[in-house]
Amino acid sequence: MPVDHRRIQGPECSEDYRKPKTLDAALLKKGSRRADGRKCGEQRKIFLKPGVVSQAKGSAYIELDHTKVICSVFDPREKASRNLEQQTVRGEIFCEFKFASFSGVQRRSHQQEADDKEYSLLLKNALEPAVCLHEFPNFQVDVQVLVLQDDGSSLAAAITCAGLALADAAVPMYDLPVGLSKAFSGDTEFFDPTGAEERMCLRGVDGESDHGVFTIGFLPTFNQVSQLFHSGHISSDRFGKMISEVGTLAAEVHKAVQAILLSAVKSSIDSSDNSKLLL
Amino acid sequence: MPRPLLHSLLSLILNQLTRVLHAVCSVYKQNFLAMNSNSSNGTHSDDKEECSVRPILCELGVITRPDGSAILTQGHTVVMSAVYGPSEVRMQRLQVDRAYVETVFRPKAGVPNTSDRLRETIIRDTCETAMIATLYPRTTISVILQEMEDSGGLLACSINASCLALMDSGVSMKFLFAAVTCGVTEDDLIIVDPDADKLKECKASLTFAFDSINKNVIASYTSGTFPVQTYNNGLEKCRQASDFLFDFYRDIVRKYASTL
Amino acid sequence: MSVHIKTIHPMKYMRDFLARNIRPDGRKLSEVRPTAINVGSISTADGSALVKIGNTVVICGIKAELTVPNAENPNEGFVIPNVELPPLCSPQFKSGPPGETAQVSSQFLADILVNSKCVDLQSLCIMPDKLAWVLYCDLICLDHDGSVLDACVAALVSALCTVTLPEVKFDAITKNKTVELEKRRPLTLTCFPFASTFATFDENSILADPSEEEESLCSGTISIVTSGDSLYSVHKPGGCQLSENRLSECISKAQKRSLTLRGMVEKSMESIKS
Repeated sequence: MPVDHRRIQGPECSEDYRKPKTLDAALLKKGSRRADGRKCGEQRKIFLKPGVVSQAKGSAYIELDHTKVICSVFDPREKASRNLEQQTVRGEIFCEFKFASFSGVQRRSHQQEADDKEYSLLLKNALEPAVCLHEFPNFQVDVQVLVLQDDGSSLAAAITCAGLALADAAVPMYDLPVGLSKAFSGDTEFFDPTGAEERMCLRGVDGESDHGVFTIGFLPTFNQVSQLFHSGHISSDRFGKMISEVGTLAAEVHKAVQAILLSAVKSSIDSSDNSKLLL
Repeated sequence: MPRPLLHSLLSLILNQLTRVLHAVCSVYKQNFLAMNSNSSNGTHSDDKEECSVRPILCELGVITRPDGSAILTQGHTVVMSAVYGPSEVRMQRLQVDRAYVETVFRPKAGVPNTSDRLRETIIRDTCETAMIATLYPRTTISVILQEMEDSGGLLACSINASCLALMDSGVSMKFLFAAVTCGVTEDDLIIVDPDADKLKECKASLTFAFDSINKNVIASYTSGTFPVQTYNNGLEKCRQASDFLFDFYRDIVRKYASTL
Repeated sequence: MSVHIKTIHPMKYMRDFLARNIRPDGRKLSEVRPTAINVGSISTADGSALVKIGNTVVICGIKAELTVPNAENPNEGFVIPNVELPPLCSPQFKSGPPGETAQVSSQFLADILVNSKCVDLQSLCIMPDKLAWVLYCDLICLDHDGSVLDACVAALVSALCTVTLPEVKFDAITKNKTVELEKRRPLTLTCFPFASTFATFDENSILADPSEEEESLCSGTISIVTSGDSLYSVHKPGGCQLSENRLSECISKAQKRSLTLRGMVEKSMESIKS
């Protein structure tokens, strides 16, 4: 491996002291509650807050129990297009998704990894349909996402968080995108899965044909799906049913995000009113 | 020109430049070290007084391509410096009201790492404070330093070399600056301008850069642990020792002014 | 009205405030912003802390791994600090490898660890020449609003306080290591260094804990790292010249602040214990 002269160098090789996690089939006990006491269709409590980064145009922080994601959005800037052919009539959302090196059980490298790139693209696809891209031709809006701690559903959390951050940055949008994810193995379905549940469902338990995880970017106002990312194996009939189920749940999350945004806007109006009085 | 090509070209030029610097310098270094052993300067003798510094030797304008250059030896520490500018500035670096000052510090061997970056910023900020950058808006002034030999006080020697190169280049300056290093022994005694062997026995080392007018502190860089009182003592001793350097600058200018 | 002067003539805007011994955000010259320290919030890390100074936020996560000690120092482990200033924290940074500021900050933290010897590297050694701990301390700035070095040092030190390492038994012959995850012992720090940054606008106006706006308008900064009595670094990379008296003033202010910060770390450590 080439030496990185821009960072403080540690020893050449080091290894994790934890043993590789074994998959826990006990998570699959039918009918009972999940490891963290939730029901299968129940999601974790959401903590969501806009305006956390003072230097950014808009920002938001989301916490789903142990999954913690922060996102900031910056002013539109001209795209680095060299000639006329590369210029576009539509704007672009540029996403950068990064897992912090200490976010997972295993330490990650500082450089952008394969899944960072993949998630960046997925996030971009999930957000772009919600934004009025024609309003800023040939400009791009930078969306920076950092996962501080990953305990499952980090992409879904990032979509919801980035949606609120875009709204906080006053980027014109058709709808507030909401991200949700679901893991399933056999008949058991986990809504808003934790890291352990995700890992188990991705691998699948022996003898169960259906298994996998999917993340969906949803625009609840229009009842539209902006992005769907699935890995695993499932029959198309069941998949369609699952998506419509998730759609109803998305509406609930959407209401909550709207309420948060509304109170943020109200408080900013109140504070600007106060400052006007002072002047 | 496409940007990647421009970048590779720039880095190529820089590499060539340092290679030339290196070649030229090694010749000069030999000469200097030979001269060094013959020199019998009273104040700069090896068995030093409390506040004297190691023997200093310097030659200006040693390389022809840059606008100003200098090679400086302090004891056995040797640094070569070159100044380019004011010259054309890269678009990203452009400042409308002042010159953009950049510093490149090349270690003796290998690729610059984070500690060289730290050194670069100290040298750059010190140079920027001394020069009147507002006289050269929309330009860049580059100070390039090549470490030849480090036997203690490399940062101080680099700062002094950059000052000499700036003097040679004719860039306008508010004042001159000189840096002095001192070592702190286990029993909190101060050794001014120690060489590498003495520095090894020290628990801390302090480097200060002073301006030539009020002898106030421009830059301070420390390593190791030390009490406040020692810091102040070291500062005072280094300030006294900086007189040697300012005297030396005067001698150098006198010498080169007459040869012009 | 004041908003317009700020954009047209920022230096005059600043000077007018300072002439009346007050800063644009209403602070006195030597007043620091409210500070908050939160430890142990990242459960995937072996130690973590979040430090907030005004708007500036830095998070530090420490991951411990096992490695072979260096041949030069066979009975020492490693502490590797790295600062990241991602584009997330401020539009002035670009993505990609760390820029100059990030590199300098990382080196500054590494220097402080060496200077202060706050972590006894020998205590990180499990078996000389065979097995030792390496602590990767990754600091990420989440909001870049001035005095980031202060927040970085505080985050690093408070995160190091929270590190617990499991007991490891190493068999030199079979080279088997058994990690007892249940038996974790905390890392002990020999001292608690904290940094205080001051911005020098001119010889007479020295601003404690400058914000981003103040840093960009001032001619230079000075960072003092101390644990109360000993100094670990007086870092002044150029900028406005200072007399000795001014320097001493800054040092004594930094010493006082380091004690306050230490109290805050201890308080937040107690809160996670209970």
